[in-house]
Amino acid sequence: MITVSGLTKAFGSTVAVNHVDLAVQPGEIVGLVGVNGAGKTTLLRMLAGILQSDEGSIGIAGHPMTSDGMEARANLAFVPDTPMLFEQLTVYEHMLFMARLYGVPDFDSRLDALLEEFELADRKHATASSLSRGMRQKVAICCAFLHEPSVLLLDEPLTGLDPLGRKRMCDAVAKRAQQGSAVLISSHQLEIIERLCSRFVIIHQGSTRLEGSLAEIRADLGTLEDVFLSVTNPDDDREASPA
Amino acid sequence: MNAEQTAPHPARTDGAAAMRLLVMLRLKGRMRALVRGMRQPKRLFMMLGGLALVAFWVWVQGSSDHSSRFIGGKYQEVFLGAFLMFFPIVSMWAAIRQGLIVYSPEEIHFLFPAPVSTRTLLATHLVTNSVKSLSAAFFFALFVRPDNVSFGWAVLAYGLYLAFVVCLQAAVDIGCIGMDTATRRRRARMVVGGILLVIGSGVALAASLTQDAGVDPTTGAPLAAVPVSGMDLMRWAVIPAQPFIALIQARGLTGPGPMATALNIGGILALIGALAITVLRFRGDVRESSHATSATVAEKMRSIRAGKMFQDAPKESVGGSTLPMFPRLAGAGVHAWRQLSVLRRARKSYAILIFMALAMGVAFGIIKQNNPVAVASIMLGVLSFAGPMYVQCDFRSDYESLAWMRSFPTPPGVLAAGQLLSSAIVLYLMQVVLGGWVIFVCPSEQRLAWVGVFVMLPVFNLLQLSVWNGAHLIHPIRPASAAGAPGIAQMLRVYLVMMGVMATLFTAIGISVGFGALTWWLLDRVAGLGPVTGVWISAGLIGLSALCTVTAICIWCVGRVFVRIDPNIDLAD
Repeated sequence: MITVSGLTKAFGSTVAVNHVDLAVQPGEIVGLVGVNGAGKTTLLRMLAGILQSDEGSIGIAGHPMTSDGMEARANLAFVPDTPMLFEQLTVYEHMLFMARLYGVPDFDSRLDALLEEFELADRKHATASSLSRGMRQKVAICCAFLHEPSVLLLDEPLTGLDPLGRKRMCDAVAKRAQQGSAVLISSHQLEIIERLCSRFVIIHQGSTRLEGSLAEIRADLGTLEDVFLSVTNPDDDREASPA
Repeated sequence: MNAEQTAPHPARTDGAAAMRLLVMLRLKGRMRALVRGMRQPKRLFMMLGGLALVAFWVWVQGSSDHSSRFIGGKYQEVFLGAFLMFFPIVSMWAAIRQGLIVYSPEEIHFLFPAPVSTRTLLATHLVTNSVKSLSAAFFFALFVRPDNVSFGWAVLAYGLYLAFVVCLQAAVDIGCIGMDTATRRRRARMVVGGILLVIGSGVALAASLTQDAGVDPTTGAPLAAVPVSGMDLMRWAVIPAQPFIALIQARGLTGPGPMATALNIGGILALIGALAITVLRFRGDVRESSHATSATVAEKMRSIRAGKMFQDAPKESVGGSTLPMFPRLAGAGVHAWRQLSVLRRARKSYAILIFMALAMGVAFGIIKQNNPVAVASIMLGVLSFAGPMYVQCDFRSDYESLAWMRSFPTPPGVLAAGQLLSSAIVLYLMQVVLGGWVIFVCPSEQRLAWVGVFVMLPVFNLLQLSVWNGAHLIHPIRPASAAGAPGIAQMLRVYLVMMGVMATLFTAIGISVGFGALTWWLLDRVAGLGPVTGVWISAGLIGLSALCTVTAICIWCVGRVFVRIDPNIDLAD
């Protein structure tokens, strides 16, 4: 599970994340939504151990990120918004590298299943540089799923995927959640994560503005898009109730 | 006019005014960014430090009237000629092979659909690149200035030379527009091969000649003719660069007179003008053709900015066989395996490095005949000092993946060791292959020292790689900025970073040598054991231990820097 308490990060005078509290239980998929520059990526990067927070604490599967960072990292997988693959490694080599890095025991069977699931079997020996944007995204996701992490952090994972790829991706995430992973996913594609997530956190200017299940937060305001627009754009005609 | 055609827009031009405005606005934007950057202490410090160093160099050179050591001495003309020949040949090769009239993606996006004429596009390319090359002229004048030539004249002369190179490559480029990749490659090989063949034939012809040795002063009998020396042969190779050599030397001790200089300048200006006119009279579709070349070059620029300076992209989409996995070693082995898998496919970096080392070795072999130790030393020197800059399969090539890598469950020091290990191993293999034979050909009294050198080299490689990587993580050194070729400010910052790296390296080496020397002094002088082999070996081992310790500390520091730096903020550009 993910536990976040009072998390704050500033870049110079700009406060990107401001005292955010969050908890994601095993088996739960939480959608992180917000306008561009709201602080979603910074929050996810802090959770993944990429950025160090200025204040607050992060727990990944019960391991504090500050004092037990390696164990916390071993229990999580992070998929960045742009798939940053090692250009000259093949798909297979990426998977082999990740397997060895995380100590995956039954590599061969997991590899075949993942490549089959994401339709990458025929590109197994293709170098990353020769893959399209969508394919690269799939490889990044396969690398994340390989060690069956208990925490999945996905930053805009649906970007670059075709409709079929998006559906498969959503199914795959739902499957991992059913298996007990805690999933935190950020996306602008509201209609898709509306179907996928059980709970939402709307973040604006670094702070949590609204949090709850879809049923709770849309009780008075209609669709998730309506809620999102009213929370992130308070000057709009559709006024939102304070969280 | 057809009735359906609309009348030309009254304000429509060939786009020259808009391009001038764009150039001015970009310049203004860069200046604004420069001034804004000065508010950051790191940038201000680097800029002031760089300026101070350059000012110091200018002052030292200006006050001594001595030429740059790089081209000094009686072979100045040969070295200068070789230096001047290098850039036109490489530019021609690059222009034919991949095109050099580069338009950035934003230029393609905004200018290509707009009513801007081909001539305006080309003229802008020529003017902006010629102006940009002035910063290179400044650095050439600083480091490659002949005897007694004033700094200002050297900048002017090199500026003209670089303007010629810009026009030459543009003319060659437009001559190849529209060719497919295979034809371009074939033609590049043919043209550059032809040039080298002509030069080689001239040198071979000269080699068959002999020099008249004159007469014996005592008997008056004619002496036997002697063969032309190696360096004199090389004078033949640089004949095509003679006009520019004469121009740069014009205000020096060995330069031609004022009339010859004036005629020379006139000829060079006419040559530049003719090339520029050839380019500007081009009537083909520069847009369509440069789309392809710009896309290729833009990708290369993107790769260069990411630190992948000398790595070639994989030629095939299929990677081939997979290396056997290394032992895990707490994660270091896995990272070393990954880097070695990449290095296996990035052969260009080796090729350039090996070519450089061999070229220097051959040149040294010609100058210092019958001295194999000197040849091996120069090759090892090139590999040892240039190698860590070329074999960049570590944090420098992984800059875009740093964020992802920080989420890996590997302790930072171990990850840093794994990152650096494969480059160090590959570099060492090259050193052994190209220079290892010196152990067998050196005088017997030097053998032990050479064995010591080869024992220390892998650690020394790791030390260098760690220092370079640390510097790159703190301040990425990139030969290109987001706005294209590097400006003077960026060059100054790069210059300062390199000085910092050198200072760190010399300090680390000094500590190791100091420990070794102290051991030798204690055993030899204080303990009175004398200069026996055991004392030398003990001193070497202590020195090696110190080097290993310093290297381990440096690698640990790189790991800490890797953890501390913020990949979100890149101050390089």
